[in-house]
Amino acid sequence: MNERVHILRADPMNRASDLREELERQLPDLSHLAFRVAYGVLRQREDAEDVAQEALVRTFQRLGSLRSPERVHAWLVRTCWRAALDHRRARMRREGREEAAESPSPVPTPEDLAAESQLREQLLQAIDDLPEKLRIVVVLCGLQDRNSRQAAVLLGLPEGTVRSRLHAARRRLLEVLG
Amino acid sequence: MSCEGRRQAIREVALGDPVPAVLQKHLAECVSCRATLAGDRTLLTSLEEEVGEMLSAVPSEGFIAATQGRIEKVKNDGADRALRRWVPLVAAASVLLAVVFLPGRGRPPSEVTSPNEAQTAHAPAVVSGHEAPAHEPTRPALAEVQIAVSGLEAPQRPEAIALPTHGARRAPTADPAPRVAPEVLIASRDVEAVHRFVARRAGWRLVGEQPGIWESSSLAGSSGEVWEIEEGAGPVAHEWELDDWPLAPGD
Repeated sequence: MNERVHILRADPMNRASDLREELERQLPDLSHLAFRVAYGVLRQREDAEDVAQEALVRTFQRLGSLRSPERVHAWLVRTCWRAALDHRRARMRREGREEAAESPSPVPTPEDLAAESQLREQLLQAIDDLPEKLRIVVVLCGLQDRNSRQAAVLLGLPEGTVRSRLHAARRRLLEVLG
Repeated sequence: MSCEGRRQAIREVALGDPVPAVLQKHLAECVSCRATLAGDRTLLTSLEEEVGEMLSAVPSEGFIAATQGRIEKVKNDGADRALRRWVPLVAAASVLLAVVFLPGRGRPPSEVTSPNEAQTAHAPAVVSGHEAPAHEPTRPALAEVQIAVSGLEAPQRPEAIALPTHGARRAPTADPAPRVAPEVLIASRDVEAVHRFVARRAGWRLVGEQPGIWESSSLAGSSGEVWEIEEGAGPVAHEWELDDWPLAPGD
C-alpha cells in the first residue's frame, strides 16, 4: 500500500468517539435513568439492572449512528423501555407456564400478604395497564409534572404534549381505580 | 343532575381543575359527592406516592461499576474486531501504489530547467515508484500506478492507471546508490484523480458534497460507517516533504 494514501476515520466516526467519551463521563446519570425506566416497567431490581445495563451497552455500541448527546439520552430511554417491556413479557410467559405446571397454586404466606397490599397491587396493575404512550410519561415524570421538560426532550415531544399525556394518565387511573 | 352524572366533573376537580360554581353548590349539600371527591384525592395521593417510590428506586451499589466493566469489554472487543476487519482492507486499500516508470519516459528532478518546470516541480504530490533513468528527460513522464484493492475478502488483481509525472524525488544528500523504490512526483491536480480511482476500486463512494469523505459500499450494509481518504495525501501535506527533498534546479 502506498504510504501516501491513508485511511482515516471520517468526521462521523470522530463524533462517535467524542460521544463515547461523553457517555462514559455521564455514565452515572445515564445508569440511573436507564435503571429508573427499566424499574418502572419491571419493578424488580435485578431484572431492571440487567435490562438497563444491556440498554447502556447497546447504546454505547450504536453511538456511531447518533448525532447529538440529546439523542443519546432519547435512544437510551427508548432502548431501555422496549427491552424492559420485552423482558416483562418474557417473564410473564415464563411465570404463566410455571403457574400452569404447578398445582395447586401456592398459598401466600402472611409475609407475602403483608408485603404486597391489595391496594398497591391494584395501583401497580392500573399503571401497567395504561397505554404505552401514557405509561412512559408516568415512568419518566411520576404523576406530577416535575420532570416534564426533561421527559419531553427524552421522548422528542413538545412539553405540552407530555403534560397533557400525564393528565390523561392520571384521569385514566382515577377512572379505573375510583 | 344526579350525583352519578357529576362523577366526571368531580374527577376533574380531583385532578386539579377549578370547581365550577354549580358543583361547588352541590358539594356543599351532598355528603356522598364530597366523599367521592375526597376518595379521588386520596387515591391520587396514593398513586403519586407509589409512583414516586418507584421512581426513587436506585440501582445497587456495584451497578455502575459493572456497567462500566461491560462497556470496557465492548470497547476492547470492538477494537479487536475493527482491527481484524480492517487488516485485509488496509492491506488492500492496498493501494499498492507501486509506480513504475515506463521505460525511458522519466527523468530526475535535477533536470528541471525552465522556470515553469521548476514551479511545477515544487507543486507536485508524491507517489511511490522507481527511480527514473537520469539520462532520459522526457516530460511529463507517465507513471503507471499499480493498484491492488480488495474489499474484506481476497485482494483483487492489481490494476494500473497511467498518470503524468514530473520527475522523481531524490535524496537531499548525494546518494550514489540508486533507491530501490524512490518516489515519483505527480501534479497536485492529479492527486484527487488517484484518490478517486483508488476509492472506486475499493468500493468507496463520495459522501454528499463533503470532499474527502467516502463511504464504503461494501461495509455500509453491515455497519454504516463512513471513511475517508486522508486529505493529507494532497499537496499541502506534501510541502514539508518537498522542503526535505529540494527539487530546485541545480539542486
